[in-house]
Amino acid sequence: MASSFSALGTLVGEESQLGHCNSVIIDAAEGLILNQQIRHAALPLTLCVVTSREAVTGQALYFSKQAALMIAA
Amino acid sequence: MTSAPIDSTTVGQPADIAAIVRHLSSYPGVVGCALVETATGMVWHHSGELVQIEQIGEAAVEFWRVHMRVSTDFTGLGSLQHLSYAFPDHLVALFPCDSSRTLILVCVGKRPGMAWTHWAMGLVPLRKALLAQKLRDEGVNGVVDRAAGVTGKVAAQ
Repeated sequence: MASSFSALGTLVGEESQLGHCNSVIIDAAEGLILNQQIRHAALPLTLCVVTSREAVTGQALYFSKQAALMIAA
Repeated sequence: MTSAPIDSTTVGQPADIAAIVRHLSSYPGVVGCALVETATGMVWHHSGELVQIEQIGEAAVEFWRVHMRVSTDFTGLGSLQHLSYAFPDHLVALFPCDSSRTLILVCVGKRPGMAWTHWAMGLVPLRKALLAQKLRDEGVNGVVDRAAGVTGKVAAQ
């Protein structure tokens, strides 16, 4: 699912000229699924994070982004 | 742009659904909204300054289909509230609009610059209008008021 969303995000971004898709968030009643793109020089990667309802969306997104930057470095 | 209030007394008319979509696209920070049928990708109504909103609406259905295909693997997370994907300057968000998940509202907003929580309250009249229209199409006008909580002329139409 994460790779499908990643591919779709790239496609939509190109077709609609919105740019590169950075992340996809699925907000459900009992939790979140975050798909964070990792700009790795050698190969495209996606970090998928699943949280419970207790997670704060902004915080989860922030730390996912930090992790993605560390992996990409 | 201004956010003109929606006349709740006529909610449920097809023209009103278009008006609600226009209203939702008039909030500060919103650049476009599209009401899309998930089965076909057909855009029912769209509004806003973004030229590609119709194409984005059609493409958004692909996200929806992927989610629906794998949603059984995530039943523990409960029902979907919304799905969003972020670009450098914009956020595209998908919201289910009816219980059967046949229609989704696609909204494109600026990043940053949009109060999503405030905007999302505007979805309530849209959901009510779609339910009222569905019930009217099915010939059960009398239950519209009780089922949708819509007051006024809707039940009489």
